[in-house]
Amino acid sequence: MSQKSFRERFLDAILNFLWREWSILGAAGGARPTESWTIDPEALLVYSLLFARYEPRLFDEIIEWLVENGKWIDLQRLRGIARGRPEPHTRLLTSLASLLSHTAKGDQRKWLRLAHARTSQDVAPEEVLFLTKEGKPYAFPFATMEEFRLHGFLREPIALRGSARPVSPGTASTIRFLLRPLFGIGSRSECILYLLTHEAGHPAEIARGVGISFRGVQDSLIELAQSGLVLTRMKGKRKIEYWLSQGRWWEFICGKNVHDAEIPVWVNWISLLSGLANVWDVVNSTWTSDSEYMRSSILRESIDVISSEFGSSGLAIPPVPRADVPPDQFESEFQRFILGVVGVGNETG
Amino acid sequence: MLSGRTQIDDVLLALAEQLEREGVQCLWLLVCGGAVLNVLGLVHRTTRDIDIVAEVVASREGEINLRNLDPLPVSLSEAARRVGRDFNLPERWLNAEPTSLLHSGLPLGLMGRVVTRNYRTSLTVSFIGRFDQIHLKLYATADQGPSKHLDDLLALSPRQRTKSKAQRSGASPRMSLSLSGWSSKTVSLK
Repeated sequence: MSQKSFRERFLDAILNFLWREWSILGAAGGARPTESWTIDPEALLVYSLLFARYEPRLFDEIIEWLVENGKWIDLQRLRGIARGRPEPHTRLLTSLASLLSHTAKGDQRKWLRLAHARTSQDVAPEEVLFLTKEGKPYAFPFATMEEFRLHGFLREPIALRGSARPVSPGTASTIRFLLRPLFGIGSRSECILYLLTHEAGHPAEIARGVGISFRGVQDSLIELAQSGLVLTRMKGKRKIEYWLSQGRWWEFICGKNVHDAEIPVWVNWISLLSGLANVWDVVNSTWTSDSEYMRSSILRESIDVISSEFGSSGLAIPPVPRADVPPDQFESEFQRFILGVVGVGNETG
Repeated sequence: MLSGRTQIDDVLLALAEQLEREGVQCLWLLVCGGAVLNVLGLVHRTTRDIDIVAEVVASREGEINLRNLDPLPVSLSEAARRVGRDFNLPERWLNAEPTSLLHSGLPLGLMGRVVTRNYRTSLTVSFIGRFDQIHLKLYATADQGPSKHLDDLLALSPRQRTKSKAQRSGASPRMSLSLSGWSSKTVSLK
């Protein structure tokens, strides 16, 4: 498959996936599909902004959703997930935050703090926000939004329609939106979600899984354990792990016993979406190269990190291309692997 | 392992591309050993590595100098690392172990007998020719005893006159590095 075709198929698969996830959360006003996995709204937001530059309607539906439901977003976690990502992740977030600081229903002040997160020295050259699927910028807009222009992006003004619905917290996918009103936005609800979907966990692995600092997770677990409803036990000689009675908790949360409850599948979306974003970055850096060898070399350079991130996500992934695959076959092996991860049929050649 | 002229050319082409990625515009290497014998069609066996004798540096006046390349410069080392990874080659597939030959001496007029190939614009490789390979293989055989060097020496089928010249040159190791009289056979790849 040509690199161009692969790039198109990959991007289409990602955009289809993102549309589906945001629809589950209540965006776009259409029928809500269902999934068996937990949705991570902060990870979804960080990485959606990157890909939604190629789908303006999705971008604007995400804004509509944030206006309606943004009060449930954990901004500290959001910033942590975005930290370390190459630009323009941070600028996309601060642009959104600028808009939400005066349009969001609910706590507008928190968005104001995020909007000011970038220092005044961070002057970015202006660029058109939206891109064609071939990567070319849209035409310069006649009128621009100041909230975006301040952070280096040019886009036409959005007319908010109120098309998003409040998140429905009663499904496996949206369980975070049940736990956050109960336990507060932050590390407590994340820790409880982790323990509800795992047999047990020690602070370091929970911190890695939920994308919150070790200290924050440890402090929350210690406090939760004082309730007597989150328990501890020794793992090995020195490690303390935390667990809870899943039967009791699921009965409390959804009124069903654990065998009848729709227990969500845990996915480490931070790892998975980071892996997909890294795939996009490396494909974008190679797809215009004429050298088959150099494309394969750059793809091979990225495969260890990408496969490690996919492996950490919890999803079953296809076999990773082996190190001894010759250069003239590596590109097609890479494509087969990635399309297998995103669940798209692959054609050879 | 490197087997055959085609694979060695492929690997050197890849090295040239990686050098460009490292910002290297022009590197000229003098190589010897099993890889050379394969490229020149003198023997047909696998080899683990490509041995660099020196970097060739040509002055504006046409003077050729050979520069010690051990340890390999960072850009070349990094380019070689990537090529080794991509082609599943041993870690030191490109090395400068024979650089000691610069001290012990190379046959007189060697640069006039090399076969030179250009790999893109960033890499030029001069392969030591048959006559000088016999010299070097005889030296290595005398130094190390029966080994692959003896096998290579026999495969090179040196005539008595060549062997005698090689034996005598062991006593006068210094080489002349002037460009006059140097007419290398040059082949370009891409």
